[in-house]
Amino acid sequence: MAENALDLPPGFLTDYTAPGDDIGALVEGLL
Amino acid sequence: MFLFMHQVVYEEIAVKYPKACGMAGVCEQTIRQRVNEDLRRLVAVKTNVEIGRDALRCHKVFPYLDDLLTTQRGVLFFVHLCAHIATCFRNEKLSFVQPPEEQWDKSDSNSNWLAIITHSSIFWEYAAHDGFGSLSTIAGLGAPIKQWFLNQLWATVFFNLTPFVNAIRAHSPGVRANNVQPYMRSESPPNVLSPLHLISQSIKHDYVYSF
Repeated sequence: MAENALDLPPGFLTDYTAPGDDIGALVEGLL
Repeated sequence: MFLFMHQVVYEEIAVKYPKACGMAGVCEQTIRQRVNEDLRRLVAVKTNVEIGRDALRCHKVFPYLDDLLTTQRGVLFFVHLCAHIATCFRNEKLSFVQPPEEQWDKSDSNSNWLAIITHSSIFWEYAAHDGFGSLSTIAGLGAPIKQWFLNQLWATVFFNLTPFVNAIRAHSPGVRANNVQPYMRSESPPNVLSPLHLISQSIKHDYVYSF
């Protein structure tokens, strides 16, 4: 299930975006 | 301590995704050496003591860092502990933990919210009281033993889930699944301290410089 470097579950870092917020995309690009 | 954790997480990500971290073409050993150098500098800034490579990894040989209580091995194990908790929360779905005052859906966001406030709670506990060095002993044991420890930890949480959830919710009052904000935004700060989210954000944003 976990595939990233830290073995976090998918979406754990990227589920917290708001309209116009690019943080999720940034972190998605990292992992 | 947060900077120390940042470097340890950065190392894990940079080794696996060097291009994303601006380290394309750099071998794993070089990445680890650079991170170790930064970690030693961090310890030196904090304690005015220069330490060697082995001391960095093993808390037992530098007890004079009692005010820091941070070791590379202990911090890395803490990160894995956080990941384990997040995965367990996600897998369980927790549909039976339903606070009466809230509408509780079964989406993944609830699991992530519980994992985030749990991370926040245990980060504060280690940062303020025990220190990450207290994890270095078990972190130095073999993988099967560490996995056994993590499984036992989750089993204890699972069989005491209601009091556990009540305790961590009290630690982050007002933070719910529908308003949790672990990232720094231009218009507002985070409403919960989630080390892994803030570290991931700081690594990715160009305006956050490496130490």
